[in-house]
Amino acid sequence: MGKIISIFGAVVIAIFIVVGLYLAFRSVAALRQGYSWKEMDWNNDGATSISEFFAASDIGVRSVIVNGKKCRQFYAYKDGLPVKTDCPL
Amino acid sequence: MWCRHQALYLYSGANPISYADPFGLLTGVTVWHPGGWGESSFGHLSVDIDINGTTYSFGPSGMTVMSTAAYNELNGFREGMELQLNLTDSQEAALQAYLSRYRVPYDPAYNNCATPVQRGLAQSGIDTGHQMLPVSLGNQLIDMGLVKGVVDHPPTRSATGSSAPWAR
Repeated sequence: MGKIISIFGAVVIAIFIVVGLYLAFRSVAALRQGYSWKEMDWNNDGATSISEFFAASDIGVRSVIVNGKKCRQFYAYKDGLPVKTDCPL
Repeated sequence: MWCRHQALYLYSGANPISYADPFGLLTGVTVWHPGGWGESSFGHLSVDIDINGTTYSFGPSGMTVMSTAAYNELNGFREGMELQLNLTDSQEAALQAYLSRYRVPYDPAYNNCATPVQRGLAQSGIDTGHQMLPVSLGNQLIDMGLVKGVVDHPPTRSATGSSAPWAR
């Protein structure tokens, strides 16, 4: 019985380590995108959540012209579609 | 030696000048290169009805329908491999109708970008099984002998960000 518990414990610890490593790598990838905390408010609700921070690792940025202005358009790596567009005032 | 450009001419009987898309029936399934660390790290898949016509792309925001030229431009940050399927008129119409009315909420595991394509093809009697990943559906289409040609869409601009090890 004790052996089963120790194997179960090892599996749980291994899962925590794998998930922790994944989140750590994803955090670094999000930070390396170079976006400001405010820019990572992808749904424009006025606040940046932790999930929006992690999502930054899956979002790129490109320059687009909107009404003659050069804007920054954030897009999803998933399908290339725009997530949001920031234009200078 | 096999050259990928030769694949462009398979459907036209290796004579693109005389027989370029003789029936106008080609449908393209494009497997896009993966990137990032989340669900995008498993790639993406879109469908081009009547080559260079209308693209259907299913993602977290639902089904996107737009011109293929505009869609390919948006995805110019990565490479795409378009598998050209030689469907009949009725098969193509059934696939397009199915994709047009697809409203099932997106789920990365159970209802992702490859799901509506597989279900749409099933409407025409083409059973691709249950392929979970875009690349596995692409391989399945090749294995089933449905692919008549391959077109490479190279990236048109440099990519940003890093990718997970399994996405490279």
